[in-house]
Amino acid sequence: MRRALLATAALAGALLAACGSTGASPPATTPTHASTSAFPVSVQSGDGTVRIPSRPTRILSLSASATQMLYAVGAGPQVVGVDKYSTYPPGAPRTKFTGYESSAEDYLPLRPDLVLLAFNTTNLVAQLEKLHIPTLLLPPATTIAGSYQQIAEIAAATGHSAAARRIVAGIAADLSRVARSVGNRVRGDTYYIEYDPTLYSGTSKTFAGALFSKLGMVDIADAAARAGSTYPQLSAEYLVKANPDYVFLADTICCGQTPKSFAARPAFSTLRAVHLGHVFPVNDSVASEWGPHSLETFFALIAKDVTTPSASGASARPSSGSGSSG
Amino acid sequence: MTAVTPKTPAAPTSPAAPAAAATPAAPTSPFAPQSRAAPPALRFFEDGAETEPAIFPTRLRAWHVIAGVVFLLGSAVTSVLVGPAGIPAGQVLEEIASRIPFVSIHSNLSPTDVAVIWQLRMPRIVLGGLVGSMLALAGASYQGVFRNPLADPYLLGVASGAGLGATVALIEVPRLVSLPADFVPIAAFVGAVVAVIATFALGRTGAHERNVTSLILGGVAVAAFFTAAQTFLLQQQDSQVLSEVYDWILGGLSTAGWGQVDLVLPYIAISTVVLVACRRLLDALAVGDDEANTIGVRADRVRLLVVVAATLGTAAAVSVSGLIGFVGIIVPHTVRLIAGPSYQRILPLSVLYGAGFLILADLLARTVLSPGEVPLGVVTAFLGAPFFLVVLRQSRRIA
Amino acid sequence: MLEIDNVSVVLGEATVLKSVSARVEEGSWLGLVGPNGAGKTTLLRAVTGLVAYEGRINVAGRASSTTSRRAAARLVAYVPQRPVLPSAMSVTDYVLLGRSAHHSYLGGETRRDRRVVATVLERLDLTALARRPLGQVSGGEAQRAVLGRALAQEAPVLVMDEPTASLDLGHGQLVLELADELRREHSISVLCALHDLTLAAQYADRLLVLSGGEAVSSGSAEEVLTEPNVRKFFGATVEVLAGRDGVVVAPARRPGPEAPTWQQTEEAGDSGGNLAWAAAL
Repeated sequence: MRRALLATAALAGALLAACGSTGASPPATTPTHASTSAFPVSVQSGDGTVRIPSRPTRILSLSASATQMLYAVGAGPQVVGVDKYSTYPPGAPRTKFTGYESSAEDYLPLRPDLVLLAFNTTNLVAQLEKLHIPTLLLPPATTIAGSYQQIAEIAAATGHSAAARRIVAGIAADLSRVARSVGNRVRGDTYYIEYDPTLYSGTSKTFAGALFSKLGMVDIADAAARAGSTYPQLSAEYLVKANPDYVFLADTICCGQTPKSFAARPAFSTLRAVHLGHVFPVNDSVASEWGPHSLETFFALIAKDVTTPSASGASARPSSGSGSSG
Repeated sequence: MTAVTPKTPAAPTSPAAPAAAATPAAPTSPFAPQSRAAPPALRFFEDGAETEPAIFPTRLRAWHVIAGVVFLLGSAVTSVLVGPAGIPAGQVLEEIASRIPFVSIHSNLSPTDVAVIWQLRMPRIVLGGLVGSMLALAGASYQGVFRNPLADPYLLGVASGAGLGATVALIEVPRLVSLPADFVPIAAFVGAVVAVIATFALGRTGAHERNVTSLILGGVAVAAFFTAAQTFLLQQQDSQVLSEVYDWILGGLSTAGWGQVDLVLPYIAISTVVLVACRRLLDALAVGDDEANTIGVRADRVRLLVVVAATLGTAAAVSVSGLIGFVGIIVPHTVRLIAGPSYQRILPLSVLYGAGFLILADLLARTVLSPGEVPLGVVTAFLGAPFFLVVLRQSRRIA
Repeated sequence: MLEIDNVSVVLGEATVLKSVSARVEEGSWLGLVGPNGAGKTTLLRAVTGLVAYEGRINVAGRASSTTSRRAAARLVAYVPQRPVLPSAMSVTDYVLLGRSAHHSYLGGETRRDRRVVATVLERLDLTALARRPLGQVSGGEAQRAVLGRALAQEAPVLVMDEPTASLDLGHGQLVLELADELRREHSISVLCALHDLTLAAQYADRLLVLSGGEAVSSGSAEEVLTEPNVRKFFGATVEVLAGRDGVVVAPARRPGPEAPTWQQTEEAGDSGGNLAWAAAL
């Protein structure tokens, strides 16, 4: 179950940490199932060990992050459908599915032979099991190592383990490079990431938060989060008092927020981040997903804006997505 | 005074039959039919008459039952035939027929299609039928027991209790991963039962004379408290948990295999048997608690029994389906319009029509916007609200 | 036979019944009279077990406090002053409710139950209305249905609380005549509260006068309903005449200005035959 995933993720994280966050990391895939691409293969996922009898050729991804990972490892040609929230890559065969369908029968016309899910709200895992369709449950990663782990799982399940090793090594190298270039400049600086104009934020225990933690940055939402919550709602007063050095707006698409509109909110013009021009827009989906594309986008944002601050934002890529993860 | 026959019924169970039956004892009766040769003076305390009396107590009518069965089977069969998997109807029927004992038909469907029929469609239909029949039956029972046409199964706080239970489960389960997968329904069930017990505890502290009113007010207070607790918990949660809880509140039937059916069947079966058995007592409650007591029906005990049974069944239904509104009101009222006001008809027919209605509503929920879905609670309310207006107009005409 | 022995009832702070004793033999009729608020209804409710009391009430030799509701319903039948009439329930179903204590709790009525109901309906001239909802019968017919439900209980004691309150004189007489006939035929003990003293005198073997929760007088109508007694207990000025069937209590104009202003009897306003309150239910 999920505990198993967390355990492997923790193991991978420990491996990564042992190599040093600024050193060149080796591929952080677990060797058990990545070593072979010969089918049948058994893959550990959020719903236990899943046995995949043969190389899947009709993959249905109901998770935007999984879609990113599939295309990153080169399994794109095997994909027959992605959910409506998968905005990257733009050419993926989007469907109307949400991943919250109440009956797995809805997916049968696509004749999928592998289904990827982020959530199991409507019992889909059990339903797909009854239909003998292998299903990987890949819940939101909260660490970078967790994301690597899921890339490795997807690669193993689709027969792309070798490529996955290369991809993960590349991402790890990019991360090291970004971290090196930032150095200690932002260590101890505070930031606020906004998912909604009503001041819903994310803590350092979220995926995006984990990335900023790597740079030594401090999340102002951490102190406001109560037990069990990683996306707390802050009060304006709290935000003004915390006075972050950096602001990342992940509500640019859903809610049309811009650095300008942020600064125009009552009392926010006094914020240090506003004065320094440290308010940066981020694509909503990118900020709430945990795939390779999200990572690379964040790296670019950090390289461009955090190290060489400028008032203009970086990567507000137009998208039809609503910003929900899934 | 002129004591004619100083005979008293010796025991209440077998009142003495005065042998004076033959004597024309009371020809002076102002009510004695003039044409009758032998007035029926003493007959009514007497055994032994051969003719079947020509009175017509309320009975379940055959065509009501047949219509209900047809409606239920029609909904169920349509539901099992319709689905995005696109299995030809003939083959579905063949496959179902092949499972009937002693029928030697062999279907040649693929294992996936067989699984679609037996592990997805069938359990969902059965679950929908169970939930629908339970909500309709519980709604009808509450209406009878509280003599309030607007009473619904959620009157005493079942919904808010189940909602709180499910919320706690959805928040806690990710942290306590070793819990079984069915933890949410179980937690919802426990929450519902706790809420109704709290309602009773509150209601009992009220004045005895106003038992029913204080019970309903207790339900209002408990619902407010539990909803506030749920809101407080949710307010601290992530949007993912919020959407899961919201999903659950909207109600729906997402089931894989027969696990959930097995989970709720015992409760719903017991509850249904008890409630349907109480149908006459509910009619007796129509004359009010005092008069029910004088004819030998303990109103408070009947109310307790009915409420306990209805609550248990509702809690079980809610735990697997979330909060599906309106079924508990529109189905009993429709049945009342069709079959009259007696609970001897309303209760058994509510079981049939409630099951058929929810199966039909679920069919619409998953086909109208296919491949998208409409939440089941939205469909029932959408069908229910206009229908309810019709019912209200009709009942005004009757009254 | 009904024995009421030293019965007191306390409701909240108020003692509404103080040590009342009475006895109704088999086949006899005890009339209960008294001014408003004298405790008549409370006494009747104590006898039917609807209100807690101190003292002893024996029905057919059994202490009513120890009998179950079900057993009690087979011993005492009750015609309430203001019955709840479910407007949609048929007359048959309503009368059949009187058999609730006879057939099994959860099971249905037996053939004998149906026969009893059929006979009661016929006896009360309700057969033609058997399938009519209670909301669509007249006040007199509804009152007969209430009496029919009580009779269907086949109880040796019949308790009636103002059975004529909502009826005109003719329908009131019909109901009382019927109860009287059945009492004589089956030796039923009748305990009946009536406002109308003349009617009470005509039907009762004995009268019990309640005032302020106490039994202040009892005996035959001639003994109890004297002009001084009526003035004392009811604050009413009457002429007591000798009628063909007993005493006739006729209201008379008050002699002086010191007389109280309230009316002697409280005639229901809706005596036209339709039970307005019943139709509203």
